[in-house]
Amino acid sequence: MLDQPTTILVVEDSPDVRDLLVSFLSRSGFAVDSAVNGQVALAMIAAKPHDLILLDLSMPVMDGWQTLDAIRALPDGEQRMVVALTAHALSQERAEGLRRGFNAYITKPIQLRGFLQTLTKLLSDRKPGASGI
Amino acid sequence: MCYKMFQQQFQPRHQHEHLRTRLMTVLVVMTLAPLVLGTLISLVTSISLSQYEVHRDQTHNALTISNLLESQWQATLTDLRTTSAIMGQLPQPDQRLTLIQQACPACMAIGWVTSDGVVQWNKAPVESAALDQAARAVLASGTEQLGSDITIVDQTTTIFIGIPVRSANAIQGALIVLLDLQRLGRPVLTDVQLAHQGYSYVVDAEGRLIMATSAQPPLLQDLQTLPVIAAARAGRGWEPPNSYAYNGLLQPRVVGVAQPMHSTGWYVVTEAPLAIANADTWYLFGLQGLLLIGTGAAAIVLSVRLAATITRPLERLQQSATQLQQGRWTKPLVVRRNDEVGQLATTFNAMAQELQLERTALVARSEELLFANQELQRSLELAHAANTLKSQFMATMSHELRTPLTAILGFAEMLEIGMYGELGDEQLTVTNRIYSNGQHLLALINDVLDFSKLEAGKVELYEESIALNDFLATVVSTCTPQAAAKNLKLLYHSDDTLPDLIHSDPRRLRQVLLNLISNALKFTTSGSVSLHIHRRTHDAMQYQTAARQATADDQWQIEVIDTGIGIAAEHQAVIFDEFRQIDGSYARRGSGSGLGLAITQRLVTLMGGTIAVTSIIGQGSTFTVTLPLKQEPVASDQQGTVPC
Repeated sequence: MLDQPTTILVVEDSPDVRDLLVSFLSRSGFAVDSAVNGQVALAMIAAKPHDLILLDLSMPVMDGWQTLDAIRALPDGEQRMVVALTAHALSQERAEGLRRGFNAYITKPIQLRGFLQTLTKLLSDRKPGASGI
Repeated sequence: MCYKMFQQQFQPRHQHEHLRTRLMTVLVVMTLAPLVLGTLISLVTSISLSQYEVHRDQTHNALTISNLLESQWQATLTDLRTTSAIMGQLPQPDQRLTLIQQACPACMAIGWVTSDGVVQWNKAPVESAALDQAARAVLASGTEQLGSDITIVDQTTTIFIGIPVRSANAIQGALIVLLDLQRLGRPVLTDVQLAHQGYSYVVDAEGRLIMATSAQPPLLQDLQTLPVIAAARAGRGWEPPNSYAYNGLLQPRVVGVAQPMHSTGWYVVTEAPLAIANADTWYLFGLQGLLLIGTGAAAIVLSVRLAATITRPLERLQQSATQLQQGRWTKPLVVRRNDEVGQLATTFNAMAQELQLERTALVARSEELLFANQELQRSLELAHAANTLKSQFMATMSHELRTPLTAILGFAEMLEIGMYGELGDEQLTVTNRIYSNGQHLLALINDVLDFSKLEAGKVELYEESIALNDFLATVVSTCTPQAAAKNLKLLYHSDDTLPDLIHSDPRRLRQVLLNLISNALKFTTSGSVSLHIHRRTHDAMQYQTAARQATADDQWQIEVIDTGIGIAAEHQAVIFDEFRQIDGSYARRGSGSGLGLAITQRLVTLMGGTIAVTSIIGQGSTFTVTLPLKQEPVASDQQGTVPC
């Protein structure tokens, strides 16, 4: 397990937020990749099966919704864990996100310690199921 | 459809025509009926009167004729007597006969009977033997003899008269004559002209015709069956109106009168035909008929015109009313009369003008309203658009503010937890400040977002069952650190009259409680903040049963009581308005968006409750939230009652 660290792909257009997430997650022990928009992310996803994808919604070129649809359309797309991390904080936006197929919907700003707990929980819930097959 | 039927049903054409016809009929009948009736009465009366008149004339004539005949008869007898008295002095028989011939022109045959019974005639009658016998009987008796029978001699009716002639008490002889009755009576019957083409004749006591002016019927015909003669012989009159018309001697349907002659016992009969008698009446009736037709025609014409005069204004009025009803009324009726109809028309004109004005006003008002409505609609659309724009702006702004805030809070937290190396005390304090101010900024952003959502009516309640005591304990424990930091007591008291489970939106209820408690803590420097939860009591008796089911108007109250700086009376009214933080001092002391109480008030209203504040400056404030008490709906399902 330690030999193969959990991989997370951060897809975020804001450089400061992207840097924050990459810095925090890598210091928390994850192998972190990052992309500035959905298009770039898709190229990276095709090359490497990340354990978790953190997807911003409002992005230039290709936004989070389109990216999600593209990921779900991949052969193993339904198994990918995709978490929305967005500043769209309204409750109906959250409901819409979960309906469209995000595994979780986290709103900015985040409290880092709580955020880490949520991610850890998501991954641990997922792994037994995934390895079970 | 319905309206059309109504119109047809009340199509007035029929009705006023009917009215006019009826009026005309009444007028014509009222005019003609008396005329016709009068004419008929006059006809009947005049027929009756004319018959009476004819009868009266007949009676008068019969009396005249009878008197004339009587005197003629008496004169003849007197002449014969006088003559007979002087006859004896004439020596020659021829002289005697000539004398008598001169004295009695109606004497048909004159004879002289000598004392020895020799009869001498001037003209010998046909049956002289019987007469001779009668003459001798006069001589023998010595008294006047009147023939008991009337006989026809030489085609005329005759009667025998014998008169004895005396001289010194000795009978010298007797005068005998055969009196020609036709010759005696005919001049009288002919001379007396009867009115109405009447005629007269004479019958003897047996009812045989003895004097007549015409050749037919034959003399001595028995006429006793004629009603007038039968009545006279029976001693009765023959008078109208009982049975005046009968078939007379010469004419059918006559009015007749029989007048008896006293000296002879004969009857003078006069008869006049009814047709002639009535001719005048019929002529009169013809005139009256013509008059009637003329009057009737005039009456009909006048009635028609009168009816038209009466109904025409009504028809005009009715037409005008129909126009008014159909909205085609343009010009008022011309009023030429000052009677009831004229006044009606004047009133109608006034009413119609009034209605027209109102109709115009109504149309104008409708247009105004329509215009105002369109304006309103436009404003509404604009407001709606503005509201949508505002919501979009809020959502965008919230998003845009959150992104940099994420970086600020994130990096501050990483610094704080030592991810970039251990910080010195001063650095840690500064990092804390960055972090807490960032949090404050986030709270403000959330408040603004919340408030705009409430304003736009976009907040919906999601009600569920709440275990009240656990729920309140959690809320209070959330605020405990803030109270402890200011060294304030945070007290909590829940009344046992409240049910264990209540129905409400936990997220919004928590927001209300947290807002009020943190507000109270914010403006209190010493003392305590206490939370009192209880059922609202109208009637103490009512709430003795603790677990009583809530009814529709049951309420519960949350009181947040602090021992803070208090709020001046003039500020209490505006404290729930948005962006209010009473005055400078208040604002300095408190930190917040100024939206907390405004949001709280709107949430409470959304939940169907009210919020109020009482306060004394320097002693503290009490915020009271009153909410409807709802429990798990149980009415339909008894099994589903509160499980604990």
